[in-house]
Amino acid sequence: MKMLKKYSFEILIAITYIVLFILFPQKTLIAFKEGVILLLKMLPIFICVVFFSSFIAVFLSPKTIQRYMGKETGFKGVVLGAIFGTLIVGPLWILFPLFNTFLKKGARLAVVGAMIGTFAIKTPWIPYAAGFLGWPFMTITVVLTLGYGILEGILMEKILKHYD
Amino acid sequence: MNTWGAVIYGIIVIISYTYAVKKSKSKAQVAFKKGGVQLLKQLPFIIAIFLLIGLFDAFVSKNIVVTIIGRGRGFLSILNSAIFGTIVGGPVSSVYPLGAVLLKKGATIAATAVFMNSWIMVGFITMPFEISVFGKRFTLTRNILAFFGAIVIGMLTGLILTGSVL
Repeated sequence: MKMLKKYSFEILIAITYIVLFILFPQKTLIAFKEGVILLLKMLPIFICVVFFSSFIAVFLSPKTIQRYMGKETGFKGVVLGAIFGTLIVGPLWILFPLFNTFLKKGARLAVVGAMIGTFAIKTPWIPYAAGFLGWPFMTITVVLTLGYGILEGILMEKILKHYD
Repeated sequence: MNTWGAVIYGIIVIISYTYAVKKSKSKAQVAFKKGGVQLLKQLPFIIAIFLLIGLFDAFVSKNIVVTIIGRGRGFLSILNSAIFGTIVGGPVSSVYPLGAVLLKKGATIAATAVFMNSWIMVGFITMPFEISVFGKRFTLTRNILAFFGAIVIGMLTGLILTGSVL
């Protein structure tokens, strides 16, 4: 039962394939072929992503980052926070408690805000994303997200300051 | 393109682990093990996602995609993709192939970018958890800013790549 829940998405896809194969064998075969080709094409990069992410997770732990974030940091601190944000890996919600600890320990709101903002970049995933969308697309997205992340941090601080 | 990307990335990974081993053998081992575990954990999901993309490509007609987020839908295409991306969400490994297949099916670059940005930046499903950690004000402010950011960044991406925001 636990396995069933854990792999519910995978099982759902398998059942969909079986049903569609009975109804539309030819089209489903094409879909399957395309999925497998895509998988083989992207698997090497995906393996790199996973191992690079685990390297970052161990060697650039958020606790290391914490040292660089004081309340007195100016714009430079916000930019630094934004750059760190691009390097953090893992799902965002898992990191929420940690970010909150940063705030409690005296990190500037703008720094944490920028970090959450640029977290959307996910550096280890960039080559993977570019494999699908091309480098021009990803370069523009990364540059704009970095800029917006910094702005988002500063705006969050400005907006939330009034309520403290 | 993909091959070179993989080769260069592979070299980066090898360099990182060479540095890791030099710095601390035990930590390097932990990182490598962690990577292996993650790989096995994520592999079934990524296989399923790619098979889903195959289905999407074979069964969803271009017309459907174009009507929802294609050229000629104007700002509605942007709004549609922003709302979709916000509500759906999920592992980042799935959003990029999904974006690619949407582009192939006739979605505009701006709409695709907005869809992916809002998927990654806004956390609708995880919002209750975010509120429990940061409080309502912080969470709402962050998600509203992220929502508008996703739209602005996506439209600018479209503008730069195609000369059109829609």
